[in-house]
Amino acid sequence: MYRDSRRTRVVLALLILTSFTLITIDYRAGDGTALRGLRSAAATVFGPVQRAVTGVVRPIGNALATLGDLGGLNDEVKDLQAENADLKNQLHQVDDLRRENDELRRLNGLTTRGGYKTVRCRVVAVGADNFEWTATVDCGSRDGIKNDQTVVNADGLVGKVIEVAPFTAQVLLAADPEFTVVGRLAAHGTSGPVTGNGVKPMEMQLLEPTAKVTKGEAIVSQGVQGGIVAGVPIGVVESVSRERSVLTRTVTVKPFVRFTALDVVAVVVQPPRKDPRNAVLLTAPPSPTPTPSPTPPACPTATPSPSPSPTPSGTPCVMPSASPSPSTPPRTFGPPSPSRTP
Amino acid sequence: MPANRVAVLVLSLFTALLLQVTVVARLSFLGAKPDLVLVTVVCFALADGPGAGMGAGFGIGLVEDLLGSHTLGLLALILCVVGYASGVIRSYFDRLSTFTPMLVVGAMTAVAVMAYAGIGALVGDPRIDEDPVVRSLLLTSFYDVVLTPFVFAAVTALRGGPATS
Repeated sequence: MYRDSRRTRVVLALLILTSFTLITIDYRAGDGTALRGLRSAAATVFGPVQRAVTGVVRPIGNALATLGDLGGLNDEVKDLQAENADLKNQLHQVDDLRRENDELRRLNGLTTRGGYKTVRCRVVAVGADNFEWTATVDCGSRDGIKNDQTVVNADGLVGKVIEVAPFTAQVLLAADPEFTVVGRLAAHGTSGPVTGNGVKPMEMQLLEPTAKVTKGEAIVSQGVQGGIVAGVPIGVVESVSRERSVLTRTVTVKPFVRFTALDVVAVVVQPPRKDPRNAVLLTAPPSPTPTPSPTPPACPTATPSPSPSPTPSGTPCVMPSASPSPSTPPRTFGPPSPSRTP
Repeated sequence: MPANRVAVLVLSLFTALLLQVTVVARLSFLGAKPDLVLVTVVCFALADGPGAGMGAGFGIGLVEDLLGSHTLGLLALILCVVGYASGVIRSYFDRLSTFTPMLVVGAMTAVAVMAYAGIGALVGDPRIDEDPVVRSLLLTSFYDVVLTPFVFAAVTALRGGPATS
């Protein structure tokens, strides 16, 4: 039975050959149509199963965490423990609901400030290996999701849609090294591509190497046709490289989003009519304490004129639209609060 | 292999893959995840021999490829070879101790990570970087070794007692 027979070897050779053929075809074709069809077929079949399994697994995980060991105890203790576990379980569920509620409120705030039209989804699965940073969400083409659409959560940019099935969609997370977005330093308007870097912070190539960059400055996405929508918070400057090459300068960026703990996300199905510039950022940066801030107060006096005086920092409020002309850098954004520095 | 065993094998592999993408892959400690699919393939190869191992590896690898965003055929190739090799290693033992499956899984995880990184680098995958490769080489191997006794016990129970050569 364990014999390595000749037939086994022939089959092995055939399977290896098939694999190499697939790798070659995929490599040559890139996003070739035939293989793409196969992938979306697999996602169509697996998507509903993943959704179902995630639905089942959540409560079980909670119960397992609270029940503990009940063996070898008398009935009364058992009953009490079960009741206790049940209550604890309920408490956990309440905690979970509270956290979810808070997350949804903040997410709602973000999408409202940006003027994004979104579809709300939950993450049902994540990439299986250590190299690819992807997540599967429980909404698909039936919900109006299309390829390349921007995905955000309450904290900021999550990624973009790369594969759509009827009930699920695959999201390439911004931490993936294949992910690139054009970002802009919110305070002075210098832009450049921001690329994912796995578990390490993201990297931004400043196209204006002489720009003065300080630690803790926020970076938002610059709207690009067919790419990530404008105004989504990406992260804050963590460090600036010393060396200045002739053309660019590298800045490391600490993303706002924690890619290992994703739950509720929103897919932007329609970009805002007006570039929100830095309006999405104006509320305080994501804080770990659950302090819901559903909608920021409107500015006391709406001054849409290009006034040079910045709004007093520390009082976040929504400006109707930030800067009137794209040439002038947005001055409406106050200096970043110190709490944002990592 | 009789039909009911094939059914058990196929169902177990799909269960492992589903658990991997919905639960296990979320348990990312220190930037690396356990690989339940690989552990399951190796355990079945140790129980049922090289033929079952390579078939199981190729099949479930291909499904994982289709669900992922990396090059198609990559995991099919790696898991196929891993399953075959584990089955061949099995033929050198009369009886398996508790530690043999752990050792085999540890070695196979390391081989799989290096093969993934090597082929990924060949086809120009920008994700292949020194840091994640070293991380998963050390951590994923360790997590997989820890998972092995449980998976192996489950596999042995599912197929109805330990195999005799």
